[in-house]
Amino acid sequence: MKAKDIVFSLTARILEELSSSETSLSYSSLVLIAGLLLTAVSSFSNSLLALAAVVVFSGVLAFASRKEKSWLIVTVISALFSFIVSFPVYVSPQLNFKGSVDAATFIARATASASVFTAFYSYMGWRGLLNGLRGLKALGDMGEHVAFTLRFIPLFAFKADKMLVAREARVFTVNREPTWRISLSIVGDILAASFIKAYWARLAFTARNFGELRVKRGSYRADLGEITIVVLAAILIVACLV
Amino acid sequence: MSLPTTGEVLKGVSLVVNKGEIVALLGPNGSGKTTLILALAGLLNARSGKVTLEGVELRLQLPEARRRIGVLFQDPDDQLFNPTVMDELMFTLDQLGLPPQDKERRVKEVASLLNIEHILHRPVYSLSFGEKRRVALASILVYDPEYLLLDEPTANIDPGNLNIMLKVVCSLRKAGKGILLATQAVDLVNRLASRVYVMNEGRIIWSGGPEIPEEVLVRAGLKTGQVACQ
Repeated sequence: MKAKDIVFSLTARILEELSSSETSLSYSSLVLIAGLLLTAVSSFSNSLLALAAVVVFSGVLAFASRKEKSWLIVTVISALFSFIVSFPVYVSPQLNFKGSVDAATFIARATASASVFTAFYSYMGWRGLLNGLRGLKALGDMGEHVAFTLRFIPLFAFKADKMLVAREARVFTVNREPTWRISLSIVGDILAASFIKAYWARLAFTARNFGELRVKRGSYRADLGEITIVVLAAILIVACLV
Repeated sequence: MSLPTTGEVLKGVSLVVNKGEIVALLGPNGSGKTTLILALAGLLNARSGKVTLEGVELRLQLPEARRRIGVLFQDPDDQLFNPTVMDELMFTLDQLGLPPQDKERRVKEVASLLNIEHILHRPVYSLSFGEKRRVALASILVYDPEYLLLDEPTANIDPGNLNIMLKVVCSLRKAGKGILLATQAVDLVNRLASRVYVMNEGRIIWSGGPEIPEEVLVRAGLKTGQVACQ
C-alpha cells in the first residue's frame, strides 16, 4: 500500500469514528462555542501550563465519548508534525533558552488546538456539531455548509487522490513542474467540489428532516455534564489568555 | 426556478403523479428533470407556480410532509451523509419516535429487500456505487413514504443491481405508491411507466402513454443516430 493510501484511509477512518453519532453526548450550541473558543485561544496562548491543561481536558472529553483512540492519533500526529517543523531550532548552533521555549510553545499550541477541537468533535459527533451550528443563527446557511464539508473530508481525500492519478496520466515528462501544477490545480477544484457537495448534502438532509430535530433544538436544555464542560472550558480560556 | 450548481431553469412545467402509478419524466442531460424533482420535494422554491400534495400547497405542510415524500438523488454520494449504513437508515426512524423493535423490524425488511444486510455496519464511503445506490433507496423506503421521486435510479449501475432496483420499483407501485421516475432511458419508460412526460430545455414538450412518437424523441435529443465502426 502506498503512503498516500495509508494517509487517506487513516484520515477517513478517524473522521468516521469521530463523526459517529451513536455516542453523541451533546447537541448544544453553547458547548460548540466553548469548544471553538478554546481551540482559537489555544492556538495563540503563551502559557505552556494552560496548554498542557487543555490537552488533559481534551483527553478526558475523548475518553468520555469513547473515541480516545482517534483522539490520541490526531494529538500525537499534530505533536509529531509540529516537532518536525520546529526541529531545526533545536539543532541550531545559536539555540538559546528563549528560542527553545518559543519552539516548545509552538508545538504545544499546535497540539493543544488540534487536540481540543478533536475532543469536542468526538464529544458532540457530527449530528451534535450540525445541531450546534444550526443553533448559531448568525452563521445562516454557512453553519450547515461547514458541518457538511467536515463530514465529507474522507470523500474529498479519495476524490483528490483520483484527480491526481487521472491528471498524472497525461504527464509524459520526468520534469517535476507539471506535477506541481497538477497538485495546485487540484486544491482549487477540491474547494469548488466541496462547496457543491455541501449544497447537495444539505438538500438531502432537508429532504429527510421531518421537523423533530428542529423541535429538539428549540426545547434543548443543557444537562449537568454540558454545563461542567462549558465552565471548565471558560476557565481554560481565561488561563490561556492570561 | 433554477439550480445554483448547474443553472438549469424550468419554464411553465405542470404535471400530476397519482398513487399506484409510475410516471416517467424523460429528458436528456440538463433538461431540468433534477430541478423539477427538487421543486416537487419542496427543496427548491419556485418564483411562480406551486406544488400541491393532495390538494394542499406543499409549502404549508413542510417539514412534516417530508415523511410522505421520498427523494432518491441522482448521485448517491450526494444523498448519503451519515457515517455508516445503519446510521443512514436510522436517521429518519429516530425522528419518527418508533419503539426499538419496530425500528429493527423496518431496517431488517428494507435491508433484505435491497440485499444490504451484509453491509449495514460498514462506512458509506467504502461501498461500491451499486451498493450506495441501494443504500440510498433503502434510506427512503425505511420510512415508508407515499410518494417517491426517483432521479435516474438506474444510471451507471450493473445489470444485477439494475434488476434489484426494477423489482423494487415494481413492488412499490403494486403497494400503491405514487412514483415519479426521472430518466433518459427510453426502454425503461416503455417497460415501467403508465404515463410519460418528455422534457427538454426546462419545458415539457410532450405527455402521453409509454409509446412515445419518434419525432418527439428526436426533438428531445433522446434518439441516437446509427453509428458503427467499420
